[in-house]
Amino acid sequence: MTENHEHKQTFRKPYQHKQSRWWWLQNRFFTLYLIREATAVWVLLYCLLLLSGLVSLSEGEAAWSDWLNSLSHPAAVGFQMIVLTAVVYHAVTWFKLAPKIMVVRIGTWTMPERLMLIGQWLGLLILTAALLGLAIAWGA
Amino acid sequence: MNIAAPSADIMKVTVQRYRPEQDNEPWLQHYQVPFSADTSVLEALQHIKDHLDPSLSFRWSCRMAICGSCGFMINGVPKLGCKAFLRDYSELHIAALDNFPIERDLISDISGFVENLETIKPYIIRDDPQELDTSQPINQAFIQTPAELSLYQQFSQCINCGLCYAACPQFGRNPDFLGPAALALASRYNRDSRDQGQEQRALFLNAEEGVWSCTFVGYCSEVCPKQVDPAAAINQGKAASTTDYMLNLLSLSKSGEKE
Repeated sequence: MTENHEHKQTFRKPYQHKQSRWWWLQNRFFTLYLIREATAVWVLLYCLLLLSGLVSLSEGEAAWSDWLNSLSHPAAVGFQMIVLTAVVYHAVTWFKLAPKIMVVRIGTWTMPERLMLIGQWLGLLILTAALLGLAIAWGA
Repeated sequence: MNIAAPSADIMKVTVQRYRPEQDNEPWLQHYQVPFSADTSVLEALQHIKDHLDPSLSFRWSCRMAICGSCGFMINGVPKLGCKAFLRDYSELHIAALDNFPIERDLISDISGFVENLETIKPYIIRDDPQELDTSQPINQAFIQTPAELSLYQQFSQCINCGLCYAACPQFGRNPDFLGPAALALASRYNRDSRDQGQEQRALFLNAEEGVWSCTFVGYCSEVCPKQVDPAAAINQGKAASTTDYMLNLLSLSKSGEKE
């Protein structure tokens, strides 16, 4: 067979679109996803705040009470409200995803998603109440 | 609903064009398309090609959400052209699927996706290849109960339309990611009671380009026209991958030996 370069000519030139760095603003679903992922940043900042509390505790009673007082500064309260919102949003969205990740099958029965959701919220409520009760009992 | 007579209403349809022999990047062309209550987006494109502009290129075949050929970005959302209707829009913007190279106009080059499908060995694997020797008459029945079928049936409904790849920002970032449909199909065969290929597929599923490139955006399951739910398949695969990893640590798994 002879090579015929004329027949090999091609106009193929696939256009590769580059993902925009603003892809997460493209639709609501992506934006809500990125907010969920970004809640980790707020949790990290809150962990640093708690860590600074631990450091001030090691520095003596004056430093500790200074740190405690600084928490009730309006800016600090605002920050804690943001962190709380972020954590709740994270919990809501992850609790919704959990039944997709973990399918509970007993024999031929599959646990319905709703039951798993309720179970997670009940668990969270009971643990929160127990922790709060413990903290109040400790303080009294 | 007022069922309009044919050609009663006209909709402005914007179509992304790309002609590799002339264009360096995609551009937009506007058409006025008559429609009635039952006009699908695919039919609108066919109207354009038949009556307004024969140079427009797009893929289609079955017209009923079985073949998976007519996936487009319709007003920014990955959808099948045959399953979206003009009556639900006030204006249409049709583009080629996101995250794939554009071959021409609305035609995407999905060969990368097809290669990913091949990678995960989407067929029944038996430890004893003699059992599947196609040169021999079938001498053994692979019986399966309805309960065993129900474990994977949902993940076997994929029509390879690629909408989930267009919906996946991780695939957009990294085309080496095996992606939603391929991983869901791997899950489908891993769950099949007749299959014995889990260890062979584990190599690909456990890799960086396997389940771990997924961050559970979940949009793939949202846009899937067949309710396959690839996000669920992949994220359940992460649990399996973790188990496999732990077994490897304890040298109990066979899949690690081949690495």
